[in-house]
Amino acid sequence: MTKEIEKPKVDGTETNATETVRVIRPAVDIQELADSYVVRVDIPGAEKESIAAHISESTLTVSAKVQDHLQRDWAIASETQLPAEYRREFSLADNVETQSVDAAYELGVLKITLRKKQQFLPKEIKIA
Amino acid sequence: MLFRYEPIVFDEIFSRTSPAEWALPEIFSQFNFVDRANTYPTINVAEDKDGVQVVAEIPGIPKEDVKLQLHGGTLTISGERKSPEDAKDSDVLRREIRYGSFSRTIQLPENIDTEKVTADYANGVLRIALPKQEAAKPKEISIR
Repeated sequence: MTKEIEKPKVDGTETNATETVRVIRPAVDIQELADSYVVRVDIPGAEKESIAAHISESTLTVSAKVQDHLQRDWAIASETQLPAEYRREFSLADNVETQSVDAAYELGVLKITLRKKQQFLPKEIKIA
Repeated sequence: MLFRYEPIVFDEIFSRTSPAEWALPEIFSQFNFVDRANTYPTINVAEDKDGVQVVAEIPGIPKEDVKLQLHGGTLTISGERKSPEDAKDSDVLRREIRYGSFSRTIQLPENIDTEKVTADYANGVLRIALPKQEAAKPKEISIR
């Protein structure tokens, strides 16, 4: 769970035929609880519909497209020029249950809960 | 013209731009990749003939925990990002999100109509509209 896939950072731009998308690597918090992992990703300014979180094989990918925070006709004196895409990938440990993942977006923060597989949870054994 | 005004030294903790970055934006702007993992909070400031718009990214903070103050020609955004409740009984594997209090002050142009300033907050983005006084807006005069 802790290992993050490092992608080559060329210059962060991806050019397709029509537009250049600025890729932002969002800040994340990862916590381990007894039966789950909680991943929090800062994605300010996104609409819920534009956020995608999916697991393929053992990789969790989080991405979100955000629109320009500023109207285009404003003279921009800015630090954050958008549109942009937030994206980050994580490789998951063997003990993560990939079938049931919860995600919630609130106040610009995406919270993903990954449960641990049953066989990895601590078991209590009754003494007969 | 607008410029960043940061009178408090410890504000630099939260500030992404170093003095070098600010002085040589053309060099730093070559790197289109933005590492938001070490940035909090970021703001945009824009000005046109009708007013000034400030956009601040403050994810994870309910609006009740954010304070906006207009004082002496400056706008101050301050508040506190509280650590989530479930973080208390867990092992931290990665922590890039900054928690705690923050404050940022922006110098405003002189002609802002302070009575008409509005702010709204959605999805972690705070938008503040600061219209200019009517007298400061350009007027068109028709030629007879």
